Amino acid sequence: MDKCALNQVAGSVWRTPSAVALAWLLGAAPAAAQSVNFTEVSQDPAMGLSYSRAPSYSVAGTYGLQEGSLISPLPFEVFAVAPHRSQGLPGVAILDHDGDGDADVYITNGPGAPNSLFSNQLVETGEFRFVDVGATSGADATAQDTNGVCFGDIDNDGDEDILTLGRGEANRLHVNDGTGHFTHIPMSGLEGGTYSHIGCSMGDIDGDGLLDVVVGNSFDMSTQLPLIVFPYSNEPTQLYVNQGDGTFADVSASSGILVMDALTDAPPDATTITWTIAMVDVDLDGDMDILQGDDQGPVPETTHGGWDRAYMHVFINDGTGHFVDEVVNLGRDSVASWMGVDFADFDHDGNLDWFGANFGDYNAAPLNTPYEFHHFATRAHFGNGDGTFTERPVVEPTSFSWGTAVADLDNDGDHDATYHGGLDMVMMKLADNPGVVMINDGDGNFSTEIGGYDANYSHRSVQGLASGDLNQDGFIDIVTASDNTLPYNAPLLLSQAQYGHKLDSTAFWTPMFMPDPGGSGGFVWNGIRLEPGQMTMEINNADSGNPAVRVSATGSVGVTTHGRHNRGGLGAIVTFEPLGHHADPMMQPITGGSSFLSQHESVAHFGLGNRHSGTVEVLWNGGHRNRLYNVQAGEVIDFPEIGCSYDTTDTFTVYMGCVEGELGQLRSAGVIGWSQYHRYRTSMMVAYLTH
Amino acid sequence: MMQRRNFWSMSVVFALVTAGCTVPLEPDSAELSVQARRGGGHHGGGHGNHGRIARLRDQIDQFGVEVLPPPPTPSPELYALGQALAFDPILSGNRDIACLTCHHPTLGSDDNRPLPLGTGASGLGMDRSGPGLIVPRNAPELFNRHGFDNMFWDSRVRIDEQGRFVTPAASQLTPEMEQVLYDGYGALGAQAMFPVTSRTEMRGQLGQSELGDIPDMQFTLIWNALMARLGDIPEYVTMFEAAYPGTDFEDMNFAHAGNAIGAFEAQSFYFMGSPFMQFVAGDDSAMTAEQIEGAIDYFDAGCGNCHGGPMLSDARHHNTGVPQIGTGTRGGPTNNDDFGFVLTSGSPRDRYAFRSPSLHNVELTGPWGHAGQFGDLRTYAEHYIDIEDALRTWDPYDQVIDPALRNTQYDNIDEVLSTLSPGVAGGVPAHLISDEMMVFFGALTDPAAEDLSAFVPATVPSGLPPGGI
Repeated sequence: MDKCALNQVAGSVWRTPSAVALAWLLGAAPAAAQSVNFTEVSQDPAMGLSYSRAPSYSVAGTYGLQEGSLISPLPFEVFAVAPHRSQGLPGVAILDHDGDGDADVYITNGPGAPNSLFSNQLVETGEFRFVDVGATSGADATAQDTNGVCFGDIDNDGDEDILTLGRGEANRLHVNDGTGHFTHIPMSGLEGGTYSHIGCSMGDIDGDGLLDVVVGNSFDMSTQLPLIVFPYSNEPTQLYVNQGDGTFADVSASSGILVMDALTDAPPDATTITWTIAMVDVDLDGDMDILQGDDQGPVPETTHGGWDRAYMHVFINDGTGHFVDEVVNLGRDSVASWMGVDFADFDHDGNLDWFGANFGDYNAAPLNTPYEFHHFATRAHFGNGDGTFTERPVVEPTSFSWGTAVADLDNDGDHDATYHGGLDMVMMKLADNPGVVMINDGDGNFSTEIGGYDANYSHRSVQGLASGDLNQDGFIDIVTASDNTLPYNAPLLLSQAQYGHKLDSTAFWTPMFMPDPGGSGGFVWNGIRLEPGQMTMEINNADSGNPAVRVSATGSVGVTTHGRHNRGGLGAIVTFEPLGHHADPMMQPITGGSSFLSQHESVAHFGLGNRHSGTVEVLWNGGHRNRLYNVQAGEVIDFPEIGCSYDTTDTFTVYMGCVEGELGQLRSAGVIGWSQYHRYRTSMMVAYLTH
Repeated sequence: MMQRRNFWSMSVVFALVTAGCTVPLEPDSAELSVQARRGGGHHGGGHGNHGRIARLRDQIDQFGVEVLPPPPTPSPELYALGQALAFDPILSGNRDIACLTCHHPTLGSDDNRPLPLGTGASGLGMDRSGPGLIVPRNAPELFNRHGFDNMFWDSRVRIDEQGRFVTPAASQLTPEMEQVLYDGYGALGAQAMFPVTSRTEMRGQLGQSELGDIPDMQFTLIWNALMARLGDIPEYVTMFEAAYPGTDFEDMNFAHAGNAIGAFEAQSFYFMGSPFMQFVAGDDSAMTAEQIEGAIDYFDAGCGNCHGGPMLSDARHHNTGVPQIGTGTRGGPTNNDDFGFVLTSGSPRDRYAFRSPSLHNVELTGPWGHAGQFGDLRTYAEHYIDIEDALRTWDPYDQVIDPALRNTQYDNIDEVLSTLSPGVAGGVPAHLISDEMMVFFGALTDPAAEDLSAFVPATVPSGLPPGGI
């Protein structure tokens, strides 16, 4: 069946009055979590989604090792100095690059290949198809070996700008002219030298209404030595403050983010291997904090005679752009190998939680590293409301993971999670992640589902992952990009680690070298050469019938008197409280880069389950809160910042004067119309009176 | 317990599948008295059964059942080489088991055991005993095997949609080897190259032989060692060079051996003379009326969805919810689970799925199931009425004919049931698993396949006992 027709049917059904009425008749009981399944569409030539990852230049080194081993078998130690990840690190961003109202997909590529920008044709033509405009977009970065990507409106001109990160080379800022065409700004200050830049995230760290940028870095990937041998000689995180004139200043040293807590026996200037980084108001105090996920690698933990070098560092902002690492004080002190991160309130307690992708439980055996179950599990951490976090006992094994997304995948009224991953270790490839969905039972307890994804991920090595509603059917879709693909005839060997869990059956690895048949004790290449990575676009089949409310945020800095938030809305914390008994509020931040190498669509998505309406609240940078009542199932809200907080201590008259002034300015600027003016005015008044 | 919504969605899927591929079940077929339909032992064509015959012919067309063309005829020299290699224990590390030991002509081209006993054991069929390790999966029969492009229960040796060989050896199956197979017996020849690499089946353990001393996954070394063994036997050198004229033995590889074995198997075990296939070929009188009724029940029940076409197999993989017994394939905490086709495909949707077996000569090929879990064919057929109930109440003491395996069931029932193939999850109406269907299974037997002892050679070039017996 034509995918477009399929999706249009799905999209039309869930918005119908009869569907809403049915949901009403089903009563007030919370909706049960449901299985999620997807249809992969990128292989359909009609979709216009052609992507093949060009390898990094260092792949020549890998090939040299492979072919050289056939002449002279390699000693084991050689693999430590082999190039790391020479197939590249593709990231994914889902953004509306041309402001036409549908979500486009940006995927980074290697040197000599333009980054792809798949422009969604849904609004233009009514058909769910894409056209790759990457090569002519001005954001192609063809010469760059691009790793991660993030986007945001760095100049507050109402469009999305793109930052692409270089592998061992400079980052590139691409500024949007408002039409979807970009210009590379060569001296923006975000270049960052020759680090292996991994991921970036944008947010306003100092409350000036301008997006600042944090970039997480790893190590010199010309060899794997830093990952394996050197515990603290890596590349530091970089933090840049927006100067407001199109340039950025490096404030890494003065900001406090280089001072990391909890590292064992670390020198004062210790640097770690960072795979994931995100700006988010994790303590809900109105300023942007930073979470930095680091990699323990094969280095043993202290308890096994090594060093504890890797944590999810939680840098808390004092509101001025100065940070203190509270990794220990926040109850978040277990060592791990964090690869990706994303956020929501999983247990509906009003506190922000985070979900971290990790090394998983199946690869310690083939890598012969000391291991304790749960230490490297992909899992959630729950905010306690006092700035601390709590883990729950890990009851299921997890797979190796990079890109991750937190989203209400079944629209049942709670946030689920998904994660993908795979790893080229030169000597072997880890292929134990078949594409995992973690279904939330509504209380923050997750259960693993596999088989819901359509593409075969055992043969891929997914790195970047981003989520968004691409076909506008009210369900979240997933886009992935892999750095390599196993050839068709590569054997899949089962991991020695088996737990009696469904993931056991897909816990694969593939050897790429084998012991020298000649008995030299060395290793020879077995002829398996990884093929270029690919993308997948997994369209949520949306068979639950549950509607959603979708909320984007638009800051009003420079538009209204009291507007403080950046125009693109990054950093806003959005809450949706359904109307009805046992209605659990949901919370999702709009983050300017998270997951791994990637950034999700800048929309907070809330499934309603059996509900049919509710209240949206936005917490903006600076701490003021806005509310909108009576939001109906299926509504897509672009919430404008109204620079007055309903929880103010001002008098009603003063407060409403502020509200009407702000709304009037928004209307004058064309941000809202008359009907929205009245709707927001009424809601803001009710919020003040009832809070 | 399956949620009601899922039950209905699966039912819809099943209905769509069947609607796309089969004649919808006729309500009146359930109402008909079996006795009224039964024509006894009379042959169908001469007793006014034309309506039923026409209906069956419609079903045969619907399910694509047709006579499988014969394989290419091998040269006598290639056939002789293949026969010798197939029965010669020289291909096993310990020189004690041959390929055909577990696919023996006197045992319906398998071993009549739930699970084979590999190298180290002695004897044939259920009389085989000794210290041999248990092979994790049932030994498949060899009938009409050239009709498959995918081999083994998990298709780990196959020719894919692009015409490429996919095997556990990956690139160790060289282009030169592939060319031998492309020019010869394809996947069947390739299949014969792999039991010799299995420690359990034929290769043996470290310290037992030069073959056993080779590390796992070193297919090239194993195959080279086997060719070295064969090259030490002048008669084999002569036979190889006769089978492949113009090629010196020194220039040959183990694909030449595998291809010869494939040629012997394809030629020897091609049997399309069953009453049913005679009927398919156009002889209305080939089956009795009772067999015709059984065939109609067979197709009405949807069996033809997976057991249709020339092979009476769709060559695809399905989780049909059968119990797991035996040693397993290293799955699960005790390594006794067998995850099936996912181990080859990598897709979690293929967990616990196994390739549909061919049903030609099915009465000769028991016990049935990927681990020989069913000793009774009717019980296996009735399993499809209510798979969850059948799986949960399956009795190893009733079905497993090898007492040593009766206490080996692995508890994966919930996981197996959670991944049942949609086409079988809805169950089959009980009345369709009829006495007539059982009689029809007998009509799938080619009488000529019942005694194949003539295929067992008196001697093999190594001088070892043919078949290792």
